Amino acid sequence: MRKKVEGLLVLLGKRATTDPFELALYQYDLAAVPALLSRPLFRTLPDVVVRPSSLEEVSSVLKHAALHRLPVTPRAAASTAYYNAVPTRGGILLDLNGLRGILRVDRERATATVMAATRWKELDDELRYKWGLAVKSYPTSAPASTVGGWFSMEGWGVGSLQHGCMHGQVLRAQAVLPGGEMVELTPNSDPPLSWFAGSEGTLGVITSLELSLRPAPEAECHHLIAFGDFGPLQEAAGTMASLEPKPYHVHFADSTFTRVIKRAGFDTGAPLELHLLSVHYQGSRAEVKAAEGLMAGIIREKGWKELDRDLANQEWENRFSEIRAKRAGPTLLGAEVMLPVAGLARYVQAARGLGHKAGIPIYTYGAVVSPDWCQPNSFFPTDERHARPYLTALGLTKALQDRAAPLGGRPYGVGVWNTPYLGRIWTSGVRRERRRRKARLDPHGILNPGKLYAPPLLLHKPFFGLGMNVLALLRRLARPAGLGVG
Amino acid sequence: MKELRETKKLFLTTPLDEATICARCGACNAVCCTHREQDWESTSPRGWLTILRGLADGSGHISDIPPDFVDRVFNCTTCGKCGQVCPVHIDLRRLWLGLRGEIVERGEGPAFVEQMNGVVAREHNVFDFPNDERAEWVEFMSDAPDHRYQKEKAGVLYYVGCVSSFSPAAQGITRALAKVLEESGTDFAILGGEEWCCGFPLMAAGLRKDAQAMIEHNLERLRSLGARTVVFNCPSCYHMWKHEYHLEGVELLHHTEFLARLIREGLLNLGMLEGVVTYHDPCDLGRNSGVYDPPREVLNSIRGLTLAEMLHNREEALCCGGGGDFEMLAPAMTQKIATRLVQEAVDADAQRLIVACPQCKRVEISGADALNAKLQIIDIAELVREAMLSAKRVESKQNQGGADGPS
Repeated sequence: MRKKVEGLLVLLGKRATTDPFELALYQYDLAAVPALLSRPLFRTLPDVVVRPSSLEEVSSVLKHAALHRLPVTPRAAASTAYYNAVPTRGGILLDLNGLRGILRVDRERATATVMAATRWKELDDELRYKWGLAVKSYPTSAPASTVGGWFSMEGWGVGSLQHGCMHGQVLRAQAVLPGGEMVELTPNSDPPLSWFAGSEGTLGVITSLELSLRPAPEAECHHLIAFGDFGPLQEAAGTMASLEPKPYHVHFADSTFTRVIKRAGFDTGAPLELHLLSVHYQGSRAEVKAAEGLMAGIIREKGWKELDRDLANQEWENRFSEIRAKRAGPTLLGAEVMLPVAGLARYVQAARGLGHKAGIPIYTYGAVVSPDWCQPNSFFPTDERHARPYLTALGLTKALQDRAAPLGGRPYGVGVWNTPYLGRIWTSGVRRERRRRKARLDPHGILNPGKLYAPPLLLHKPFFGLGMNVLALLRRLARPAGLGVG
Repeated sequence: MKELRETKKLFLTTPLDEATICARCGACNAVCCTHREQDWESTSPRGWLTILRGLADGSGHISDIPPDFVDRVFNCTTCGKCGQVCPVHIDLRRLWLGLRGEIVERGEGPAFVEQMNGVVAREHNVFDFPNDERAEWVEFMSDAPDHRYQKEKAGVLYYVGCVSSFSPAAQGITRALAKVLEESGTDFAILGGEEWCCGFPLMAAGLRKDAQAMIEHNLERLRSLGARTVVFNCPSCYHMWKHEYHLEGVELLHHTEFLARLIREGLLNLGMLEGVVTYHDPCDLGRNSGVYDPPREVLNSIRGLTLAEMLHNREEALCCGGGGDFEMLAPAMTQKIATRLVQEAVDADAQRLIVACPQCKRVEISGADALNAKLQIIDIAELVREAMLSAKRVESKQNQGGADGPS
């Protein structure tokens, strides 16, 4: 291996390293996975980390990798939680953070070409400041996550209700294929742009993207509505998602979320016993004024309980920091789900019931991303430093997915850890087609191996199911005392 | 995409607990100015927390701190932006400073720490100059009063600080502020050679105990002077006094706050100045002390000036690169960091970049030189002094009967 990576040290000079002190830090993402679980499955330690600063350098690295059949794991912010950007077979860690910044803006067409590792928030801030434009949608991890990263994932988030999935906002992209070939991807190219959307860096390395934009909003307004039961909240969420003009963003949270947040040290001032639905409009002054009138009318007509505007504004300000609940942990476990809006209330009820049974406060929050679909995230605090309770709590993540499945739900994002659910995520036809694309573009399977297409042996159905059932049994036997929230 | 509130609640429990609470989201990495220049994960706040998590045993004890990690932890300007954006609200600045303290206490700090400690212990300033030369800047004033601002008793202590006392690039601030205070009728004094380093460079180097001697001496001099207000033009001195001196009954004000008060009370006669200016919020004044409005109040009170904000301002302001002893360790990287900030000022179409910190001024001038930027960089006190002189010129013309300037 040493010989195989030496060429990269020559190629990238000081932007390549095999220093073990450095390599060790590229083994992680947001997931808290105990070593005893990850070590038998994967070799997460890369052999070399390289930091290319151009399309051409990415191409050189991939040519070298293809020549020596070295696995390559592309990575920038590494702000996902399914090992999407963590090596599974060592090899080359391709750190793309050197590809950061805006390349071109076309104010008239309202488009921007940006390098793949540009952060969403920095992009949006600069667009607003310099060009009076704004991105159409962004993930709730916008301060950290990258444009290329979100395109490679599923691309639903803040603003999706009004502007759809982020994949549809990408007009073209530059990429390097696994053999090192540099290609321009468009809807009509071969391979087409659409293949790379949500492909989690397994088909090629995206280096830049052209995005369609919107005029920077002149105004915004925020409403926070409280419900005693989740059923009426679901109905209200459906009503909001079907409104014309559509809100920019609709967000929900159950009462357990507010309680866990309070336990984490943040008293938001929201009533602890009520579930919350927040509705956010952005646009021109006239549009927002009209939306204010529309919202006031609906709230009055339906007799909903609207909370103070300061609370609503605060809800908006906190859209990037829902993860602050982690202070109640220090670890969070859970499940991110795509679910029909019609199943939301039953899912939340099931998640809460699961938590109640386990004596663990499981909270749910998320966004309505289209008139029909929402994206609930259910989490619970735990502590990764205590192996036994942590491992038994891990079984709850499958239980949450199992509650979502009968309601038409599926895991959001795949990476490694959701590969056991591939059968729920895509039909067999879609999976077959995805495998065909992979075989065509990456016949040696060197690009981001171990993700997206099939679970590793120990996560195959019989082992995975058995393991999770054992954890569930252990949890029932050692049910912890109630945690005082929930 | 504004989402940060100006007063953010930050937490600090134990280093290991905080390292476990860290979500590894990388929001800190995205804004860290030193990481931006180096880009390796080990040079990032997230990387440090990951290392910390790996170093601690089950009880949270850290037995060995690898030299590589020591290097990284001192590779930081302590600007506090990492904590400001942290979605789990970790007080990362305090965490880094505590970690430096732990490293130094174990005798494993970088060489410059002990060198600096020796200099400050001997000379009571970080510049290694004889401390009785602290007030030499007064000698360059043609119109300083006979007492040279050193008095037995005064209502206000103007605590000048090491950089403003000794650095030629910063002494203009000191002279300007002294004249502004004098002409406003403020009863103030400086301590001259009896002013010692505030202790901030020692704290930043992990030498908390050694800073205590500085604190005690300065407090003793304050008591002797009898001042009830202390004014600082250095945000780091201001921050140090506010957080480590534990004073009661004494008002501590940054000069931007004091100038805004003098203007509000009608004690400064400000004339007209023209042009577009932008303002840089120093880390220890803005993000780390919460003072954002007074400097803007001062700038907006000068007729004819247009204030254009930079892309990153207030709590999101960029760091100049010169804080937390970082310039002593890596002057070239400090300059690179400064160029990013200067570029933002240029992008704001400003002719002048107004600062409120002597270290920012020094470093940003160097950044502007590197960029070859046509931008004048001056402190807010110098700008106020200029506005007062402008008023005087108009008055003088009017007195001569040839008034044609703006009133």
